[in-house]
Amino acid sequence: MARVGVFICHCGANIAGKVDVEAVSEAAINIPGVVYSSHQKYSCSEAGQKVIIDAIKENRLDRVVIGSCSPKMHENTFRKTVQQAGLNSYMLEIANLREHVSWVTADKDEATKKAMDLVKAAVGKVSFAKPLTPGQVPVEKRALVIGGGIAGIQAALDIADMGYEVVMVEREPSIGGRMAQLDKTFPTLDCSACILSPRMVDVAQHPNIRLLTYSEVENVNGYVGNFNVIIRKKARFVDERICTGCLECMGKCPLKKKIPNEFENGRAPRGAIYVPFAQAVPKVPVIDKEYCRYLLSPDPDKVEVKEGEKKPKRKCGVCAKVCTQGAVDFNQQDELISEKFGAIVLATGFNLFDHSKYGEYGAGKIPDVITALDFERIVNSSGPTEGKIVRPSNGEKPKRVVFIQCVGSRDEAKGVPYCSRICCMYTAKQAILVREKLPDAEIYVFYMDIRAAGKGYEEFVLRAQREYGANYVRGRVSRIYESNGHMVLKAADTLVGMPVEMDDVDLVVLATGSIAREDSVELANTIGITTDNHGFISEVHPKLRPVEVPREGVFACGACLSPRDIPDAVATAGAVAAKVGVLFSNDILMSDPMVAEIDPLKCAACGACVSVCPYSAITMEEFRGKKFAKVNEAMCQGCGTCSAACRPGAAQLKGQTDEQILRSIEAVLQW
Amino acid sequence: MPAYAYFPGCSLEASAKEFDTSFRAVFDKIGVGLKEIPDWSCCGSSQVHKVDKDVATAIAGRNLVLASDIGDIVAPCAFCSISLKEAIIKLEHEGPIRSTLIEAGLEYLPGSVSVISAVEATYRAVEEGLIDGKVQSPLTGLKVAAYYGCLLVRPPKIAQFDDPENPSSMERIMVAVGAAPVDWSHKTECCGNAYIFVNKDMTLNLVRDVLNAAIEANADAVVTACPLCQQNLAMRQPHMKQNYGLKREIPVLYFTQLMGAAMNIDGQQLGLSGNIVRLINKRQQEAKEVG
Repeated sequence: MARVGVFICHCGANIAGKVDVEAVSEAAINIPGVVYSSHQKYSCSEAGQKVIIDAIKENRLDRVVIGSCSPKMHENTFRKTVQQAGLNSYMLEIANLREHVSWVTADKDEATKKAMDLVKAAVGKVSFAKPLTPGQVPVEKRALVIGGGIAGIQAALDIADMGYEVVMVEREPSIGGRMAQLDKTFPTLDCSACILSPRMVDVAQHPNIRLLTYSEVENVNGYVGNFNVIIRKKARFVDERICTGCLECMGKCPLKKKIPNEFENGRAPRGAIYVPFAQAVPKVPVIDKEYCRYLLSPDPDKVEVKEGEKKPKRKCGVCAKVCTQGAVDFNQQDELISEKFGAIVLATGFNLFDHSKYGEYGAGKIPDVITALDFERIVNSSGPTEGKIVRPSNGEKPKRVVFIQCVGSRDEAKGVPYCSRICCMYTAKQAILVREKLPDAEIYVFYMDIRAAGKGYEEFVLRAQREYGANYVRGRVSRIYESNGHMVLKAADTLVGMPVEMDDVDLVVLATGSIAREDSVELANTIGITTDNHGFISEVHPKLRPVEVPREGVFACGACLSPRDIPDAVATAGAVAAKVGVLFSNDILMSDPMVAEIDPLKCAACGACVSVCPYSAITMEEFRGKKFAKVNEAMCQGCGTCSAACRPGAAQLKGQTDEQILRSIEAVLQW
Repeated sequence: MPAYAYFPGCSLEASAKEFDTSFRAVFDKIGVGLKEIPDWSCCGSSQVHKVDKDVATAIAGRNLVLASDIGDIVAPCAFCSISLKEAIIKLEHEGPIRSTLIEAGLEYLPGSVSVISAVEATYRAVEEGLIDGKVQSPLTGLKVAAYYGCLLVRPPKIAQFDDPENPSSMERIMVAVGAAPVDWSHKTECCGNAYIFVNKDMTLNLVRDVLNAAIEANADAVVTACPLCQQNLAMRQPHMKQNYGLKREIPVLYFTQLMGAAMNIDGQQLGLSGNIVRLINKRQQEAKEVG
């Protein structure tokens, strides 16, 4: 006969304020199998744990029910407690009397009754618990970093400096990410490229880092310490091992001024063979197969040629002819690389809101209404205008420049209720840059609130106003339209309480907000994690576990979690590196023993479990002519789907067996 | 043949008679039935909703119930359609008003009926190809400024139609009848009608801004779908050239009037004056000579 001990926790007034803990404790002693019951103020405290340990020893308890907060909070604490008392740590059941009862029930009597029922169920369940032993799995001490922006770069360098191997996967031809596109950074006005490019070079030269650019993650299998990842290395058509980065080919491409360069936000052209920007790492061009004349022309070997007709020739191919190294290889194919990793770091960054959704600002069709990222490229000396601030419509210097904040952030009507956090600051920076380059220009900034919470941030905004003469107007802009070669802008000044109408506006810069990458949900699905409503990666706990995601061994940093600036991206990248370091400090990991097992004697070999398992952890085996299903315990995540699908009841989730579930229901109904 | 429950509303019986006749004629031509809701009453907007919002919802609700046997409601006036649409949203959560309606022998079932404006109904017909082959004399060369005003596409949560800041459905309709919509700045600016008794000066400034913007965009006419906009923009023009800087007078028409003209419906039935008909013919002639 089981000897169950019941411990009811007050959790201060959290539980005791609503639940009559004494009554619950007294009622518990009458439940069959219970030989000891008590209540205490804080079970999780050192004193509380000692009470539990002593009671187990004195009363020779062999299993324990603790009525307390959610197992999410203290299950691990109490597992250790019962273990200290000499029990197997899985001979424990927690009845959640806080989140499931006291915090969500208004009536005291109802709360007490529900608490009693949950305790009964827990006793019923724990009575049929069996001791479980965790398995051991080795740790592959290599990390995969997905994304080569500043966050990914920082994480990769930190992990590599700890002595672990890192593979960085970046889908663009070069690493650098968003930060590479920026001109200056707030609040120090450092040149963005000057502080970033040394780090990019460090990544390329680090002996522990292998860089895979123009590559994407296709598939992730496995579990913490043992992920199997398939990476697609897209055909670059230029051999990275041979190319010297002379870029002779780029100058000769007949399409060199024909294709909008994504790095320049489409404001400057590139060729079909290109590096996105001068400081690209690696400095090896790619050939864009969507445009390249050679690659688009039919393959002579695959064209049917009639007799007497000449075989058609491939078009162009100039880049291959001018390459002295013979690095251009039109026959290159996409390559699938399969690698094993112990940890995965997501640093996939963000996108910017598409302002064509703002009909009131011209729906993206007014040429002199540009985005802040356009402005970064325009004001940058290596950008499309070599750093001259000009109106895109006519190339003239603007006399009146207007910045509009919160375009695609804090705007519920456009589906983006959140604050993008960086726009107040970069707008102040851009206002300063306008003043530096155009001393006579009028500068206006329309804002809702100034959110400048950061070291030196508020002072920076004040400088933009006081020293650089940016006129800040608090209010929304309701309409912009073209008139007589300029723009008319209508707005409200909510401090004065008057409408504002501004004529002769030459340039409008929209502070478009940060949004998740368009394929972030797809990536999350590939990796088996979740995103929030807006597509940003969800962390395990926003405060206490801000860089971990719900799949163990996977971490995230930078703006793929939520909009953030460079210092925060770098800080979270460092945090991720520390987390990876902690993981890699283990040679072996204990695996969760609460996984499925299949009784081969009961198994009818129907295969239902194989087809429902989301983790491909079940396979069909054969022994002496009898077929049966078998669980790979290392791959099983303990979801229990197989157990629900199994008709003969052969598949059981350890710690949550059919018998335990039925007994807990029975306990509520009978006792 | 698809059929709508037709809710004319007060304006279309009086000041906007030509909106009513032209809309009915066009829909007759394209074979979409309009069955007038028997014993319809005020939509609940105008004065009522300023005095008591619940009464306004109940009055609108009465019309919804009366229409529910016929089909979805088309209410041409922008005020009517928004008022009825708002009532649908409110009645879903307003048990007490529904109870009041039941006391009056009117049981409103949420989801039993929906409301669209004349522009929406026409836009759908265009998308479904119902006007194909009906446009006998396309309005080639006629440049029109489509004007939406405040309530046709806003507030977006209630209107639930087209882009609230940069709508384009009326342009699509105008293209379908051969006219050339101009790209212009003031299509959703306020016409000022609501303030005519309070601040006449402000209203007339707003009217001038809208009309001058259409004139600057080289439009031959402004087309609208709201009785109040049409009335406000059209009738004040003669006095505005001198005192308010209106550049010239410009016709302000219902979009259905121009559709009717393109479908060779009699001008009298459409309420189109001879001047407009002559303007249309002139543009068509010019286009022929050029092309």
